[in-house]
Amino acid sequence: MSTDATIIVVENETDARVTMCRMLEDAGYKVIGLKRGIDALGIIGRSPFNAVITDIRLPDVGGLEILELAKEMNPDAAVIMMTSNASVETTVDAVDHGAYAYFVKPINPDELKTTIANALKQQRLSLENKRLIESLQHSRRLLSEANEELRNEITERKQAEEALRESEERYRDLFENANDLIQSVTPDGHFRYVNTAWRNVLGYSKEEVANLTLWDIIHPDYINHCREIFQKVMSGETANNVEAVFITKDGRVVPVEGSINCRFEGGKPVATRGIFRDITERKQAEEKIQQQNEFLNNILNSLTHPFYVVDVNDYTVKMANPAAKLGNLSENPTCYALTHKIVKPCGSVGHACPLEEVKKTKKPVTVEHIHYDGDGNARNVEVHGYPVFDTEGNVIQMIEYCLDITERKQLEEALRENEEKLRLMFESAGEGIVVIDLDNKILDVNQVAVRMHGYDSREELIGRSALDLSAEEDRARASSNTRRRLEEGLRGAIEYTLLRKDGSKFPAEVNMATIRDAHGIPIGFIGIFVDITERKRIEKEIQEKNEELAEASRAKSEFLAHMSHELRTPLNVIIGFSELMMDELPGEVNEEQRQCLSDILGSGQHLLSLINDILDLSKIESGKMELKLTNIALPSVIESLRREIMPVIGKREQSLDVEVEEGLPLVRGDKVKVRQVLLNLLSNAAKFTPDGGKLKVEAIRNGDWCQVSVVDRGIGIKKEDQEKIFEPFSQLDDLQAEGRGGTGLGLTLARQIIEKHGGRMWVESKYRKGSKFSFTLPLATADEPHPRENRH
Amino acid sequence: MKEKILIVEDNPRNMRLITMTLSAKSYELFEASDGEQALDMAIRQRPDLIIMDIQLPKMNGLKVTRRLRQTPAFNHTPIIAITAYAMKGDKEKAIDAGCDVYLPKPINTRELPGLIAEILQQRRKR
Repeated sequence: MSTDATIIVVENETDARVTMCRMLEDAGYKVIGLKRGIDALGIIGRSPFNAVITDIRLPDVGGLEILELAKEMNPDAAVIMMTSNASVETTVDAVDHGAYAYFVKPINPDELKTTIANALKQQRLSLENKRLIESLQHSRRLLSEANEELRNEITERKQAEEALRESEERYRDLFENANDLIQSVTPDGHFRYVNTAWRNVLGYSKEEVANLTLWDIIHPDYINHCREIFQKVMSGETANNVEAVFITKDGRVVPVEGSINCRFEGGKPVATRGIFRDITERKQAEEKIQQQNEFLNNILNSLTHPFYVVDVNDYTVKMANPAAKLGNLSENPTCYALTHKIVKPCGSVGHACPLEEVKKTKKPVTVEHIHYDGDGNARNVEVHGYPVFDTEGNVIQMIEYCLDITERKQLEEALRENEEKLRLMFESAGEGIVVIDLDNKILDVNQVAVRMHGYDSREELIGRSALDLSAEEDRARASSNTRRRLEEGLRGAIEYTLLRKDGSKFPAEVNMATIRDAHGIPIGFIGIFVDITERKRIEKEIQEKNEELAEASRAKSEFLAHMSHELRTPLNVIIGFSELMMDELPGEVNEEQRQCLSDILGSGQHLLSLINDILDLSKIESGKMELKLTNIALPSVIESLRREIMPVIGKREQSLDVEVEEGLPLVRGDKVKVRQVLLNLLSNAAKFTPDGGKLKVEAIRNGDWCQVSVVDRGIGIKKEDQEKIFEPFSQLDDLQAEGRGGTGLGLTLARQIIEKHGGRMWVESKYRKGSKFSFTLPLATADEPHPRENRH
Repeated sequence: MKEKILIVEDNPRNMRLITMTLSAKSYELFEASDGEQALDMAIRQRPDLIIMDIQLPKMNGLKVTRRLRQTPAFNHTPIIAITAYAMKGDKEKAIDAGCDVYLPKPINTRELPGLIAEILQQRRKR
């Protein structure tokens, strides 16, 4: 394009100015580049020019001032405004002042060139047109004055139309070049026009836009909101900061913010004009914040402990979670009214006020309070307060949460009471008590233990090894016993020699119990011990006494043995010679002498029996008699006795019945002694039964016992004498009188022998009718081999 | 030839009782009143049977018996122990020392001759 057009470029930024000037010079224009607005005003006032490109904001002179002067000096000049940011006000302002176009930096050189070229072309055409019209007017004026008014009217109209057309074109360019979404909507909702950015963002072609209405591109959720705004704008209001959500052709949502106003013609709305900015990113950021807030709120609401935020100045609760159960916060409740049911801050009722503390220290605090629940029950509460600061570091709010520690408190109290009880027991026990860990380290001792060991205070002992309190010779054993208690479950009291502080020793009986933790793992021991010095002394005394007694008993036995020997030796001679003389070994004896010898012999034998019985009895009484226990078949013992005694009772024509229960088990006993007892009873029975009388031996099983009875039809025993006969030398007077006396020890000895077997002996008798002497013996044990009866 | 019986008894009355008891039989009787004498007499006379009181002066009957048993010549000589000890264990002590028979006092004068005759008869059979 060949032109001699002059273009003034006003731009304070040197780089931009130089670039633009060079570009326009390259395009063939005459360019005047100016830095300052004041220079521009000077040039515009003096020199002819075709176009001005100016920054709307210059350091010295406003772009609009340059625009106005340029329009004044050259109404046809094309003035193009540049700005760093677009707003509807500035653009409308600029266009109202006659700006041809409006560019937002950075400027696209091609667009600028095209726009300049169009502007200059239009300028030329306009000038030409003006000239033609002027000449036409001139000719017409000449031709028809009558139609002058009409012509003028036509001219004016055409001018107006042209102006309008130009204006619209300018607007259009302005819109097309904007980054914002610009739209104009008719009152019935159809789009009069939309700019390129609008179409690009929403994805519609020009043709498609023609068939759209405003309501097609608004998100359903915003339709009502937007209709209201639309009505307001149509009634003349300007709506700023309108938020809405558009929907693109392919269904994407585009949040936007912008301004809308309405053009009126003749008092009637013609079209709304709106400019919107895509705020997707801002919305996303806002949404993120919203989500975070929601997340935090959820956390708060999920807490089961009361949680709230309190204003530090007036104690009002600003926020609370459901657990706080504070109800409607719009009533501005105070924290103390809601948690304490009181009307003054906590400090005034004896609680440390966490809020005051937080204000004072600017640090988190924990205090214990008594709160009241909905039923008015007091609850122990641990209140945690955290300060919230403003940007200057002042505490403005306190975050507070409360833990209900009532149960913990009660537990603590119970534990404390329990501890106190145990401590009381610990201290009031008569025994020494030591608590040690698994390494024998003393953890605690009671006063008794301290005293026993001769120390002054428990502190002297705590921390030391318990082994230090044992005599050196006992330490290895004590240590090994401790281990055995754990590993082998060793139980019971153990005697140790313990040490006093002064090194002296004392014997003690120690009982240990293992202390276990909640999982049953041993963590230590409790040792309870008593000083057994006194007991030891008594034991020793008793032992000495026992030894003395044993010695006495031994001496008695020895004495009896000697006595027996000493008595028997002369008796031996008496009995022996009596027998020899009766057998007439030394010579003949007459009948009278024989009778004398018989009495000597009888008395000697009686004396021998007495000596034997006394010896037996003393053996039993001194515990010297030992039973040779075997399993005995009673029937064979009875049979052998029957054979032995038959000659004796036969002489007196007495008879003996034996009744033994069939299958009678074996009994456990000393066969010789049992035989002795039975012989004694049979001899007695025979002795006290008249000649020709009947005797009987019975043996039956009675539970775990065998019961043997000897029955006679003899003289019987009076009730009052029935126990007496078992006492030594208790032979009844009338028996003595009848000359039937034995040693007087037989029954005593028999009963002692039976009792030594574990059995018992008793008598049932009717005076002058007869007697029944019975005794019991234990049945044989199963594991004892059967007695070998045939071997002697 | 008469069989020889050595009677060891410190009590002269008992000694007379035993000798009288055995007088009806045709034994050659020797008497010793203490342990040492008993040993001396036994070695010199080589009795066929010895009646031994256990409680003796100088050396008791158990000791005498043990000494005799150590001598091969007296390995099989029957020894009848007679004692007033009727306490538990006396019999065992006597048997342990080497006595063949144990008789507690008082001796039964009616049974002793028969017992001796039986022992001597068994000895002769061997």
